[in-house]
Amino acid sequence: MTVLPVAGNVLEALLGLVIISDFCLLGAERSRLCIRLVALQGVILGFMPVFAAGDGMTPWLAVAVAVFFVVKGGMLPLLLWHTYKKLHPRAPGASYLGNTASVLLGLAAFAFSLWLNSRLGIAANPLFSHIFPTAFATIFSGLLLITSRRMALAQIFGYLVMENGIYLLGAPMAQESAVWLEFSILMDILVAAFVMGIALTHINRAFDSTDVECFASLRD
Amino acid sequence: MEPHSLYLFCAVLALLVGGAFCSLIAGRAAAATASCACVAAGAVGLCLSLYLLLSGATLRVSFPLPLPLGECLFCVDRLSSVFLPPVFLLALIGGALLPGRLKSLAAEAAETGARLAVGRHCFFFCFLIAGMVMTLTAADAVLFLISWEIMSLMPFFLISPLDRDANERFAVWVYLTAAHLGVLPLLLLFAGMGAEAGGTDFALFATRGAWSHPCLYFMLALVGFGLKAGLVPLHVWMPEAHSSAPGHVAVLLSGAMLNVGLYGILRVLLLAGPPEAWWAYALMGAGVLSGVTGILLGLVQSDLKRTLAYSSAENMGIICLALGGALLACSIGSSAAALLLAGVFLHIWNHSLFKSLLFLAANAVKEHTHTMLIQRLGGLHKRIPFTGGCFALGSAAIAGIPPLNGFMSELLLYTGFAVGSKAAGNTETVLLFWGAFFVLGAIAGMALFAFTQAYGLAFLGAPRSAQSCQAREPETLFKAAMLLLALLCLCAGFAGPLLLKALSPFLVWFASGLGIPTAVCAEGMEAAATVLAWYAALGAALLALFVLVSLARGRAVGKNGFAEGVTWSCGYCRPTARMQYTGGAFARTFAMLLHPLARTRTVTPKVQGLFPGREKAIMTSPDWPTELWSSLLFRPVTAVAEAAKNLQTGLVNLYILYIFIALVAALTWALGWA
Repeated sequence: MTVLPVAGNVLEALLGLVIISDFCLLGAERSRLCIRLVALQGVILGFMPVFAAGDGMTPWLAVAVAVFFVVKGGMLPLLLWHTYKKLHPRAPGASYLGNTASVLLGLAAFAFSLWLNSRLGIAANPLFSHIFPTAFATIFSGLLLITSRRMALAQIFGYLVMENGIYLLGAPMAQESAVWLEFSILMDILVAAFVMGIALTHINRAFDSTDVECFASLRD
Repeated sequence: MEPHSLYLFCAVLALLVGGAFCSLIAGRAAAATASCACVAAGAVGLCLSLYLLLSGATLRVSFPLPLPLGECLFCVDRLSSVFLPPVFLLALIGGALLPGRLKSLAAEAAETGARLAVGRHCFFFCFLIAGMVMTLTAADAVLFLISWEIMSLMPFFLISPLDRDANERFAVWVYLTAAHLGVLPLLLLFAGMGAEAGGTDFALFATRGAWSHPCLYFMLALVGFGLKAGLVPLHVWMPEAHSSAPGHVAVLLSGAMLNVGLYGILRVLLLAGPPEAWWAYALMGAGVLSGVTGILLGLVQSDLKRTLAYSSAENMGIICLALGGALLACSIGSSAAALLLAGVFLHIWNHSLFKSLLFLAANAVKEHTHTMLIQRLGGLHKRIPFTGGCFALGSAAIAGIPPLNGFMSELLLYTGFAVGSKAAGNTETVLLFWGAFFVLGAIAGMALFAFTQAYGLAFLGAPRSAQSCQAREPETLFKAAMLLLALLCLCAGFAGPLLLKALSPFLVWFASGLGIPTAVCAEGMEAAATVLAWYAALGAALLALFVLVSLARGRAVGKNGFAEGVTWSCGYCRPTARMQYTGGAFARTFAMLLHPLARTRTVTPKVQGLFPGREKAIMTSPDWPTELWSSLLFRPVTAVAEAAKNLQTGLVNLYILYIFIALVAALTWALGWA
């Protein structure tokens, strides 16, 4: 499988956009902005298999891509938006580390991903080496978001971003079987987002807070 | 192998397992159901195992049960049939006592508001016996380990049926920890042997000529099985568990389960091929440490049942010492090996008899006095003469007083060591044999001292507390059980030649397994038979003398009458119970002389002024091997575990961070330095 020159440039640009959106998410404090950024990432990633598959595009793959596009770019952000609107008070997604430190750690994660990529050697699929640093940096950004954010909603952003990274890692293998695997993961994430959204609403109603530090008092 | 033996063996297992499950659903009849099952299984099993021992037949039975590894294969060979009779006898006694004991426990539970789950207790009791029988007959390493686990786990549920206090809970947890740690070396042992032999069948192990790591296997067996046998310093669970367990359980734990540990060591000795020279030294060293430390710690205890538990460690030490001596004699081709082996197996039987008797008598005392502290007892013999008599007989047997059975087996050991020293070619071996001889003598002397203390202070003199005055004789069945064991202790002393004759084919078989030629073994047997015949004759003379003296005393008392007075008045005008010897005072000299092993701590108050107030001198005797384990192993592990608890903050963020760090570290290691 080879990447067309024009498609290759677009792919580079899209990967760049993903990385920038990662940094923006790490630096963002307001939940509304975060939801928009997650939606943007979803839209970009929705296009990804089209560029990755190149001439191996099949009708089934096209349908799967359309589903990804709708779910990642539309349904999940809408779900988050719905949950966000129900939360009272609408808490800002404050970070334990501070915004600057979060972005710097994101940069370090990107550098680490580049180093990992250099250590991996030459992959059988050259597209893999292209996508790997961005995909890994996105996974790390998701983990960073989960780890560093105080509010439960911000942690859901983290889970979604991490899933985006995993999805991106699978994009070079955009054949039907791999897509079905991705598809099943996506469905899991969708259900998880639903459950988390509902749980969060109920927690907010019961405890008047979605601060995860308060959850610690529930441990045995 | 006759089919009826096979059916009987299956029936024994079916009775025990079936009895266990039936008692779970039997409701109020649970105790009766379990009791019937245990008594029936005990009686049938006892007859079967004695028949197999005398006939020399081997029973091999395979059940078509799907085990994850290995095969469900049982084999009652000669070694198993030597260890099975005490288990079945004590199962019979324990089973017969079960309803009465549970009734008494239920009455106590009703008084204290505790909860007693009778059905479950009976279930675990039946499975404890089944576990021991299965362990002694398992012919496959995996089945052996499963049986071992069943046997090891059951006392955890049985030791503290009423969950009385923190001490009992501590005993239970110490037992569970020790039992689980003890399985680890056994897992390694059988995994290693299985991997080398290419299977888990013991028959495969036995046919394999040379092992690549026989010394490692021996050490693993000594540690793993030694823990179950209660060898010092691996005995940590024993004083706690034996002193907390109710009578019918303590009888099985002390009289039968310790033997299973010894069985394991002997089985591995047979499977691991020709023994190496240093195995004898290791066994003798372990025996000396266990024997001397065990009886010394027993001597300085203030709890009667703990004294009995430590004396078990002492007896296991004696057996280990003699086994080491037998291996040493085997290496020089001396007939002393046969003498020592005969002593070992007879002592295993004898220990089961007198230790069970002592535990039963101690439990009979505890039932009404609710204490086992020697400083609270005293004067029991007048109140409960039957129990007192049984305890006295058991004490005399364990202390090695002729004509009882304890000295019968010890005499064989003394003779064995003496014969071995004569046959030894070099000075070191001569010294080793004589050293063992004198250590055995010292242990026996201390045992005599310890049991004089235990019996004398608890049963003689005047009651030291109101609790002691509440002592009453147990129910008839309990008395019958004690009488049976007491008679067996007495008869076994005289029946030495008969017992040796019954054991002879087995001993020749076992000795040949260790590489002793049959002719040498026969020579040793002959010597043993002569010694035992003399012992029986001497015993008969002693008994006759005892009867004559008693009759003469009876006549003298009848003629002259007798005056009643306070015991041990010692010239005091108004003696009180507080003037009697206490346990601490009695044992003080020994404790001081052997301080490095007894480690007694005394806190003496400073008496000041002309009219000092009331002061207390406190003498404690902590179990130093347990403290050593605690400081070397348990406290560091607890500290690490406590520190690890800090990782659990309850913050999801941190948990994810751990995953994050682990991921980065794994990737860095895999791609950066691998």
